[in-house]
Amino acid sequence: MATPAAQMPRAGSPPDLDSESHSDPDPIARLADQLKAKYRGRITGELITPARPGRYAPLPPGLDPRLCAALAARGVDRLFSHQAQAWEAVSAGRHTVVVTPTASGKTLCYNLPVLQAALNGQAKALYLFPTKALAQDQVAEILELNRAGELGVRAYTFDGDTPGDARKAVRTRGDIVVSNPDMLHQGILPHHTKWAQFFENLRYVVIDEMHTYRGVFGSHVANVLRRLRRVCRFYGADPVFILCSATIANPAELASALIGEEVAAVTESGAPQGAKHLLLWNPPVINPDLGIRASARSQTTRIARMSVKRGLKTILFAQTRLMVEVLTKYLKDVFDKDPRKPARVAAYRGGYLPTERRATEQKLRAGSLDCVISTSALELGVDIGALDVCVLNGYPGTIAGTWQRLGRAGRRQRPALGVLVASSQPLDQYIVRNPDFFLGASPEHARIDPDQLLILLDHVRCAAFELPFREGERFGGESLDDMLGYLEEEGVVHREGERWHWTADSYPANAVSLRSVAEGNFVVVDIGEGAQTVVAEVDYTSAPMTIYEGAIYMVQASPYQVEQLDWDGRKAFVRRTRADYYTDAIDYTRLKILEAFERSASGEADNRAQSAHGEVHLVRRIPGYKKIRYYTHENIGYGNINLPDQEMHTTALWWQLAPETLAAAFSSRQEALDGFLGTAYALHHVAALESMSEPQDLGRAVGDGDAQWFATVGANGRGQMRRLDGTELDPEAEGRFRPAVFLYDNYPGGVGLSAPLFESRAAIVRGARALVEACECRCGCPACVGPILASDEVRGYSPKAAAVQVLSLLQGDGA
Amino acid sequence: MALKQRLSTLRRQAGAQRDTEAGTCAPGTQIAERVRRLRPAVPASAPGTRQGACGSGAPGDAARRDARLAERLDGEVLAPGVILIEHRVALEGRHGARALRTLDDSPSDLPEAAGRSESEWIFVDTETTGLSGGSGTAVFMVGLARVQDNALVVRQYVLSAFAGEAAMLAAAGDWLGGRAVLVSYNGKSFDVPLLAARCRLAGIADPFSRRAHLDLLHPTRRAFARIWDDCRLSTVERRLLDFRRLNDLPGSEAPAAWLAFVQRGNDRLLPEVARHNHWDLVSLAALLPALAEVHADPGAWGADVAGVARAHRQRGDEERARALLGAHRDRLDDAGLRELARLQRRAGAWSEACALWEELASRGCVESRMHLAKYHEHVRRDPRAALAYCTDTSCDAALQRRRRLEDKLQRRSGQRDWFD
Repeated sequence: MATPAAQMPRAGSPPDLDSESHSDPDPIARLADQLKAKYRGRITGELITPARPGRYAPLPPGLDPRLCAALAARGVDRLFSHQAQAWEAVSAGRHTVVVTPTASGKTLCYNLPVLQAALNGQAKALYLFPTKALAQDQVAEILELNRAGELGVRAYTFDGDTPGDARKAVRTRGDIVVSNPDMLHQGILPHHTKWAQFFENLRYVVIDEMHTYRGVFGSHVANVLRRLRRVCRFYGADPVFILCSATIANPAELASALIGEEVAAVTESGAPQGAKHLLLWNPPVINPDLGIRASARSQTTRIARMSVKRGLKTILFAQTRLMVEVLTKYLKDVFDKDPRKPARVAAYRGGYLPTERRATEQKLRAGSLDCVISTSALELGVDIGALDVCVLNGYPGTIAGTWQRLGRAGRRQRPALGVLVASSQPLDQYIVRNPDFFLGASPEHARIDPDQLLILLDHVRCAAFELPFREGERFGGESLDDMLGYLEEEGVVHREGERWHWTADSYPANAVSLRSVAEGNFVVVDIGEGAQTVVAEVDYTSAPMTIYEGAIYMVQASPYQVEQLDWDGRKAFVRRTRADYYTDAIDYTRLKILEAFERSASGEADNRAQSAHGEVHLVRRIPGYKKIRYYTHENIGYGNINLPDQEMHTTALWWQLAPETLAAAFSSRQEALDGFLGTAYALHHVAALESMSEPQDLGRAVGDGDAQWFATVGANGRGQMRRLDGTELDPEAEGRFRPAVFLYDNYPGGVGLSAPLFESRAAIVRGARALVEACECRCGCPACVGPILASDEVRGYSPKAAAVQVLSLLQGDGA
Repeated sequence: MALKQRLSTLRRQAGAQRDTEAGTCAPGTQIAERVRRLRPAVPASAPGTRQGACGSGAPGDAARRDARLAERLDGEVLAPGVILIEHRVALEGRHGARALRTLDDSPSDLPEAAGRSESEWIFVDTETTGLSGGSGTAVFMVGLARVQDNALVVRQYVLSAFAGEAAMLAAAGDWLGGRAVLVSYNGKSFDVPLLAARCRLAGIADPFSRRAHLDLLHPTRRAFARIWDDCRLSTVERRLLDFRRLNDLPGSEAPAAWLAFVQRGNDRLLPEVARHNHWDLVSLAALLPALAEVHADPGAWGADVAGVARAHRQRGDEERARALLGAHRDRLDDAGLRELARLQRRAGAWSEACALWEELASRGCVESRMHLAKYHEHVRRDPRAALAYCTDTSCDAALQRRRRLEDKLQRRSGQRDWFD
């Protein structure tokens, strides 16, 4: 195969480069060296994993000869060790989770047993993928293997796009049905009698991208799987579950929580791996006072330019579709100036036509593109061949996702270089200063709470519709009798003898969204350009904070302004805007501790820090919002908000310091208050990382925990003590001053984040302290303790130092 | 256990803090209260009054319940949980403007009924606990009707408890017998799939699916969908049968009526549900011959002639379709005229076809112009005349044909030059 450089001599590059890519044994290492030499100060960490040879195992002896032939036709005559391990576990009838990196041949882990079973009998399989696009890719892959061996196995997708007249064929003739959890929830289970034949013969359920099933979504999916297993039992089937996941800290635990059974874990990949070189890159600080850094975008384009000029195939990942377009434009301006030549740079993202995307994939596989800029659309599954360099413009939000994207470079055992360019977001800043996250065991724990009361109740409802409950049956960890009693009061089920029958004229699954807890989502309606188009949906809990009148609401990175909020009608009417500011709701959250379920060992007696987790009741009032200019974070105005107070019972963890300790450590209560607010900010982001949740899944608050007062950051950037009605209190004038910092599950009833966070509170406090201490700003910035508007001189102390002080005191809680 | 503790502590705290009813202790209240607290957005629903009067209790209670309902419905207890109501409707009687006697006439004018005799028809209509479908929707009344001994025999199998479901379905299946052809209104997509699901859930063989089935909604739609506002059975009754129901319980209220009985023992509306279902079945029996007449002479019934003609053609009776369309030429829209022209062409009636195409072409129908061009080129062998129909430049087919015709003419004139 000709190298790209030979195909396309370039005028712009130095003369020796072309020959270099022919002769240089390792152009990628040279690029890394050059980056390091030139930008030493920006590289905060470096990680080299050496090439690793593959570990193999022979094809299993019992494998169907037709399947062997199909594999041989595709060049497979032996298995990687993890594929063989998965085969063994699954053959023994054990539920199995496989955790392996991108491009390690994980699909064979489930396709082999599934195809074997389909060939040897009537056995059927259900594949669940989080998205429709992935399902399509998967069917294509099975069909290819199928063709190669003339296996005659029928695989179909079944989702919202499946035409009505094709559905019957899928139900009755499909050996492998590829779908998604939403379809299973709303389309398949409530109509299970139509699928009777399929369920009777269902042998395997495959759940890929398992790590995406966490938090609220994962808690719902666990219940959908409870319903699936219940329906299977009705048809006398007990399928084996095969799950696949990106690397997380607790794959077996998550798998077992999802399916409610013990799960065997296969975690050692036997696939060969090329050498990997990862650089963590922090853009230089350009305004040390405000802690403002150069944009990640400028750094990303710079690295990409160097890489493409050296003839290296390069992939860029951006967080938003808009950023994909911006980066593409910048790079096309450099590399695709001549319209007569074939394009070297292409964008790839959702929203493009499938044919367009397929064409780009094809060009990537053929090596005729030099650079592709993508959203997470390319992160999963899609085969695009070998790339040399991967640049991430901003941290993807999870380490698992980071590895999945980095896995795009260096496929097929070639050496690869990855560069993670941090944005100025706190999480980015935290990650980029902790190379250990990428070296050691993953810190990310995917949590779900399948017994979350409201979620569970939703699914008991759906399950009662699907099959009558019988006396003594179990569903979830709560008392089923109580649940059914509640539903009987509602009039939707009726007890007759030993059974509970559905007795409502409704279809409950349609009222249950797998992505929210509260009922009554808001729709965001664009009223620009005459027509009314629904552009987004916002769940009830976050509506008051995000779609109040005047709010700037981002959809696909484009700003819209909310013109009218119809609270009762659950609608927000928005119009596209060009505002150069964003809005930040002023959040008065008054929190009352209802009960501590568990406390740290040390007591109040010795004046040390105390931490606990338990149930809290919070009342949130959103009195107004701030308009904040992009980049500079200056406050350029206010607006009022008139919304009803929000109440929520949820779970939380909190830390408290004794008044005596505080008095000894701080010269003023004001300083302590600022320290607590900065601490809350840092803890919040570190905890989001640990629990693999979005920052908005968790809430943070500072207050007395007794619903008397809470603290917020005022217009001057200083902490203020207030009552819910807005009255400002003077900290020094108050009696006993015992602030607490809270992290809470931002959903009614909680979603099971707080309890595990309490378990790992020591690591979280340590992480938060490291985040703040290592920040290069002087007295606090959005990357560590939140925007600091007042200067040191005005304050007389550094809020950053105050936060470090609080955090160091919290470390003494005996955890 | 920790959960229980947590629960009671929480209730105590919440009760102390807020004015929730702390006294209630019926089963489910703990959950109810917790859910209510978690869901401040939703107005707390008033706790329903649970009676538990029917369904639970000793076997004797169930027997008494069945007997009471049988009496109320003027039926008999067929099996535990199943009431059978039977009525004979004399064929001499009238249903609206129609005599049921016409059922005897062969309905062969209705294409999908051809070749069947009245003894095979079984009219079917169910009442259900909901209209949304899915396995949570139950059938609580299976109404069947067939002609026997000079009468229309209507049998309604009614559930008095879920426990009777399997027996009800089996009994209804038994009465169907082997050869019956189902006749329904929207039964193909609603009643029969639902019955199939219930059989599956009850664990019995499904006697309803995989059986010949004439769904009268389809011929009704074909004849009247473009003429009436809707094709609901009540509309059909009014417009085709001249049958008007007095004090009818709307079908949409049937679910609530039965649920009121099952949940609270309130059987007040069930006789009305049975009467509603009875009328549905008799209307079906009257509708079958009426639709046959519509298909014999759609013009007389104000039906969509083109739609009816299409049905005859699809069943292979092109001649009948052509005759129908020809007889109602003045009532056809352009699509109907195109269809008539097509049938005339296939029958070799070129002059009639051309007249139709000319009429259509004069209103700008490009397709008809193409037909005329083809006719002149291939039948009349007059490319010059054909070319006159290919002037529409917005149409690719016209452009191509024009180019080809021009070539043809060119070649011809060239030949002529040569020979001249």
